[in-house]
Amino acid sequence: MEIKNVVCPFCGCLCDDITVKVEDNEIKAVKNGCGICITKFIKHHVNAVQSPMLKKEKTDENFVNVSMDEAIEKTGEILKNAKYPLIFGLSTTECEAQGKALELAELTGATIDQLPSVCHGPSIMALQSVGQITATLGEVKNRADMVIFWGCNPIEAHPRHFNRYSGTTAGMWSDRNKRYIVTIDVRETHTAKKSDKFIKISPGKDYELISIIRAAIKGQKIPDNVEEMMGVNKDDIENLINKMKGAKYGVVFYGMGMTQSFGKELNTDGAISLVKELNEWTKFSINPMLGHYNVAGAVHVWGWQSGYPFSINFSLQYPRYNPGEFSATQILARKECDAALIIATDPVAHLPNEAARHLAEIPVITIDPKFSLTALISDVVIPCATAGIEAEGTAYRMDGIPLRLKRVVRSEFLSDREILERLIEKIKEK
Amino acid sequence: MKLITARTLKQGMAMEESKISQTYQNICATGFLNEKDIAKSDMKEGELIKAKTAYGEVVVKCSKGVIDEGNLLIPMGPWANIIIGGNTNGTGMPDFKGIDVRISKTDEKILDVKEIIQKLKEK
Repeated sequence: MEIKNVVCPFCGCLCDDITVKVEDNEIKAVKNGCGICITKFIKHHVNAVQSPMLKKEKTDENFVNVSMDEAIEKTGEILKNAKYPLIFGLSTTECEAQGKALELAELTGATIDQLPSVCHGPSIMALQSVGQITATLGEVKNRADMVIFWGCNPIEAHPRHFNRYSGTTAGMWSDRNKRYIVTIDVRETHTAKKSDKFIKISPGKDYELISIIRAAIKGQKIPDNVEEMMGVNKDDIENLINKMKGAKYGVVFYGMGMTQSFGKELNTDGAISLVKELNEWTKFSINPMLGHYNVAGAVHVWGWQSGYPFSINFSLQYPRYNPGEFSATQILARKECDAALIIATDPVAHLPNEAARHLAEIPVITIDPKFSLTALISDVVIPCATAGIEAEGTAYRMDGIPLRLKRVVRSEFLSDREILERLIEKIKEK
Repeated sequence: MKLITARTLKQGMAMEESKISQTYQNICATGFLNEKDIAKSDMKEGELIKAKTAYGEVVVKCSKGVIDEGNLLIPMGPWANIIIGGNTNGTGMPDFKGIDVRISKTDEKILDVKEIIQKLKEK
């Protein structure tokens, strides 16, 4: 059986034209996807957790297989006994599970955080500060005649973005010949090689370059020693400004090269402000290149429920937001939380060791279809149906468009949403 | 030198298959340097190097990469994260890019994921 128009649950592109061939509940082939998409579908069962498991003692090496009821009971007990639990992850699962996780956080007085705190948190913080002029990827495809990739490398991180929305794609009023593409990065990435112009910037100098461009647009002189300051020569900046002002429809896509470098949310604040100012000359938009496929979903869902997009604390029974205080990295690095529920992410692999180390000292529950590194140090591991492959749900594309994830094969396990619903019931019982 | 951690296509594919695999280790436990930096030092491509920051040290395999002189690129993952700090200076975001790093040739071996986890457990 061929299932068409399947949405890929890997990156923020949420490509919705994937065809999956299924025989006897097994994925046999995937069409239209990138290398990562095909790997995700075809190998979704590799290294999968086969049963709910727990360790009797934190120091035990081996897990014991248990029933789902026992795993839920143990998880409820850990969360109920914790004074300051952390719930973390959720950027790679469906919106319905994200909503339930926030309900659980409120019920247990937990801090809840998702992955922007280690990728695009600074983008969201800047958006809260100065707003954002955005566009759908459809608008970009059809209209953009100038595309700037700043500190992002979609050819490797969002492999179909360039061909489907922003680079070689042919839209109604634009195509590759009409589209001037610029990459600004510290190294000549594959995306830079496919661009019309590559501007190499010194590491950590994004804020300086943004500020110089903003000042020059307002008529200030570009200093002669600009190349010494940021590695970009004056002619390249002047040409870039002329191209920006001359574009009919420009768009900036920015990535972790901007958000994780020195300056962080000040870089993104400056970039968004630059785009606002460019709108005095022409139409310009700016979009973050969200990596995990449903970061935007949690931003929307938690925004509706609590008013805040990530790093939310419920210890006073009402939501408080402060990324510097309540991000998973900070709470773990400061050794503040006394239990952690990890859903659809792997902090032992993805957070700095200084933060991950605390997880080896406290009770940890991992809900994940695969045996992650965090699962290895957990007290309880609960397998789930993989969202977008074994469970349906809603996800938001990087430009804020909601799409429906499909279930293409059946799983013997519950979805993240169903597991969280059972946990909520269990906590209410206790 | 400055340390830059970044996503790569191979890292993304290996991560989606299994993080407890030799493939994932081969891809993520690699340090990419400019060929001039490799030539200037006593290191050769394929040899093991130790990268040291204020937060820790990690052994990775030296590889030629498209990167400027003075920079070391390690794909995002458990190996890079050994030498990234947990302080976010009030932003919530760790410094994944642009921190000072020193590199040297080493005879020590690359840790596998189970050894990384064992080290996490050591206080």
